[in-house]
Amino acid sequence: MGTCQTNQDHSTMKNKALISFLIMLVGSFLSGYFGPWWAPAAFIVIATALAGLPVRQAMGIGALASGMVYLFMASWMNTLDNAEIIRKTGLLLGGLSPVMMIAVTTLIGAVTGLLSGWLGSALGAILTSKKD
Amino acid sequence: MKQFLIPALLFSGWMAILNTDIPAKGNFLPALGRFMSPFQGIWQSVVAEETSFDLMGGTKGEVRILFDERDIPHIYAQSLEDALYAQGYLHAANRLFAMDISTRSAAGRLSELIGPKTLAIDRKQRERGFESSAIQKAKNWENFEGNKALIDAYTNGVNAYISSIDYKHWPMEYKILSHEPVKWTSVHTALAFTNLAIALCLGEDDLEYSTAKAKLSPDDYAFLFPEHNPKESPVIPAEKKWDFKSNNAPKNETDKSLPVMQGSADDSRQDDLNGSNNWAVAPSKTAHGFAMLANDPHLNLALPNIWYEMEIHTPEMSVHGVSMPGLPFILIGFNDSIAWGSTNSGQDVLDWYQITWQDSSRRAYKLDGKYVEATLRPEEIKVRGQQSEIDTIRYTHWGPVTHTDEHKDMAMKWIGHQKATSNDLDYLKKINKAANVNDYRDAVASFQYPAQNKIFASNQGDIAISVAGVMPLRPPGNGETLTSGETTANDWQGYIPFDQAPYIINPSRGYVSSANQAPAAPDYPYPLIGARTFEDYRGRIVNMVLDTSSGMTPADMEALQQNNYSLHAAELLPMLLSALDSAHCLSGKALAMAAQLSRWNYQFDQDSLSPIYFDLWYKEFETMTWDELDNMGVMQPEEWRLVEIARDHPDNKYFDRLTTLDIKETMPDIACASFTKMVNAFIDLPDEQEKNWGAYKQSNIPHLARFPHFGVDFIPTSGGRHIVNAMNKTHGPSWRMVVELSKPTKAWVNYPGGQSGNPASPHYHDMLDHYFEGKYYEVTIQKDPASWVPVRQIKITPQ
Repeated sequence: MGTCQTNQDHSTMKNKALISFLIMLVGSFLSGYFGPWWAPAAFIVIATALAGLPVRQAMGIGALASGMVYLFMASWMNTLDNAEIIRKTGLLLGGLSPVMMIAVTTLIGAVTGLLSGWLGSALGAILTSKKD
Repeated sequence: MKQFLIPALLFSGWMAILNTDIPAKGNFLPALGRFMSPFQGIWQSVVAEETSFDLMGGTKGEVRILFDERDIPHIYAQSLEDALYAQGYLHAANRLFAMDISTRSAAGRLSELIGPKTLAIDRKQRERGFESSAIQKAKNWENFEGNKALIDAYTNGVNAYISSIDYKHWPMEYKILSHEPVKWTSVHTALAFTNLAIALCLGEDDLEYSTAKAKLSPDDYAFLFPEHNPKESPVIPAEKKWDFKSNNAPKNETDKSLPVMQGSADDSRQDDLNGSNNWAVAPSKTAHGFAMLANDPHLNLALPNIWYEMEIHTPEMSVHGVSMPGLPFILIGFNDSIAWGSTNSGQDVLDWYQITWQDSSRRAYKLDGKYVEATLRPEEIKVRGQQSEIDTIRYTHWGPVTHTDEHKDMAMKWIGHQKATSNDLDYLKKINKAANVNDYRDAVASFQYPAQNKIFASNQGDIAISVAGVMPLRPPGNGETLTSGETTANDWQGYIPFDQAPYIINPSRGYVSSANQAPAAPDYPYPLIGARTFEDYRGRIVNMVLDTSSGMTPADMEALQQNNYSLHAAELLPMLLSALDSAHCLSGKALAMAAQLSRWNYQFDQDSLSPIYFDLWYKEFETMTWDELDNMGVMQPEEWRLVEIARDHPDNKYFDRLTTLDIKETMPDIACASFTKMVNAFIDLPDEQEKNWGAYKQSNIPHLARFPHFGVDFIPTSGGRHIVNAMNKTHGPSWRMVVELSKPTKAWVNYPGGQSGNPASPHYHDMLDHYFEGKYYEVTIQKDPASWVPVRQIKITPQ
């Protein structure tokens, strides 16, 4: 019974994490698309706070979701870059190749997601404790 | 709480870092949060949105803008105001950053955008008072009937575009510089006018001439710097008779105690490449029996191009040509009846006056025997990333007094300041809708500055050229050198009356032309100052070709625009080669190079080697000849004068070199010595440069803000200095236009660039290949919007 309960909890947590990740993936994308540059960060903070994710999970999911959205978008835009704007801008910024530009963009997205997840989780913890 | 504080602090810190511009090696790294955002930042600048759309605008009626395959907009509007609104919108949509940077440059506000790197430029611009006179100009426009509505319409159009874009749609230059586009005002338009004047009529050599006069004997000065080039072929041909006398005042006493330059004269002739060609031929000289007109203004080339091509239709006019973003109307172009163009006249319309201050406080200056208070105007120069700098500019009777450069304590009297209150729009309004030669002359009468050779042809068969723009009348002897500012007797005495300014209509030779040479022959009653800024060869080549041409076709006009013949080389090289022959001073490779030069046809073709030899040789020859002058800090005489002296005075003392005390050299000795140096200089050239003239010249078109990689790095080109095809390293024909005044008017045009200012657009430089292959696009005015199929369109409906 105990083992069954634990497995169920584990499975629920996994599902919650997966759903949270998907929500953050879609939310980051939509908030980034329609909002200001910091909108994905704000979305992740709010989403992780409401989901009540534990710190590590919130940080991981935030980083992964935001990083993946940034990676996907940067890679996609790079394929549209017939005029090599990114290559030229990278050179202007000290010699970054398009791959490095994508990497830096992804890193910015991931770190922003990580810190947003952490803050959201902490905020969630406070909210939960106040409810209790 | 601690569990919340740490992530909150880290998150806030990280977001603050992402939101902050970071200083780096004198530049600024843009705030990375938005800049690297794949939804907002530079990633969104990789795609240009050039689609059809409708917008609600501040027009009175509906405006349709149809774009052809080169993305040339054809504006169809019900009123001139609506057309200018659309023009302002299109200028902003395609050249917003160029408009901003050029007006900032004139105003002395670059440092607000760039930082301390441009502070010296800003200081110089501020102390020359350009922004102050632009403010005055903008204010004054409103005094002229109808102007306010036109300027407001243009301004509103620009701002309609600016309001419509968010960060994601900012031009990428703004993203890189992390600076928001600012709203356009009439002062910006005035600054755009001023910027044009700065580029075209700020040239002078007052201090250089003063130094030469002070350091040389009167005989030497007269020998080296004669007033007229005897071979000159002036803009107005000799057949024009002047039936009036100048009303200049008697000559003033020359002030012998004027200061001279310290150190070497900065001989900037090599950089003074702004110029242009234009000519018009009468129907009697053309194959099709229609007058034809050609114009190619030479300017610093940049991407995006300085020009924006467009066509404007209103009930009162249908006009096609190039506009200059920041300014309303078409500047060079054609309509149903006429074509017009411009070259710079090169008149000296800037004089420097030496100020004598009462004391070191520099508050009062001597004028007509007493001390007069200067007007002190504080100027705040905002500098990105550091504290603003406050400078105090002193305004005198003459104009602003400079204090930061070689013109220390000299007051600047400039036509741009003197005529700041003129009605600049009047000329443009009139010329855009002119229908005949009388309309053209009426328009030219309104033109104020910079002085230009305004050329004209009509479908009635008339051709004309006018040296347009106000030209100051000075006491004889003044204007060429630094003048004493202690007496108003040295002041300008008015301007040459319009009807006495040089012009000619339908000359008997069957053509009119100009290429920045002297406006009129020496018998013209008024002194025309500008010797070193007048071109001495291009005009002669154009006139030589036109003199001997008949049955000309548009293709002949195009060929003349791309003529690579160097008259300078043709006149000097045989003398130099003959000197080498007589001196027997060459052997080996040098001999072979001389032999190759002797077979040269004086064409500066890109695949030829001889132009490199000549260019290098001439530079060495000039430097060796004028070593005494360089040593004294005196400017070098003009090139044509060196050719004359080499021909007529080969034993002249200036050929004797300073470094060889025991030998007295003559011209052949200098020819030999400079040839040997040329051979070594050629051998020392980098491999990629010694292939041919095109490779040597390294022509390129940089980005307007000199962002590396956003220009075109290397284009092999023919042509060069003193050549009709005046293509230099980064300077050359910025717009080529040939118009046949048939019915309907036909034109062939091209320019080095493209319509879009967005580097991501296929129209950023799509005309470059065609341009450098010497090809043109045929254009006819499309009066009926239903008669052709646009690639895309914008519809503006009134709000």
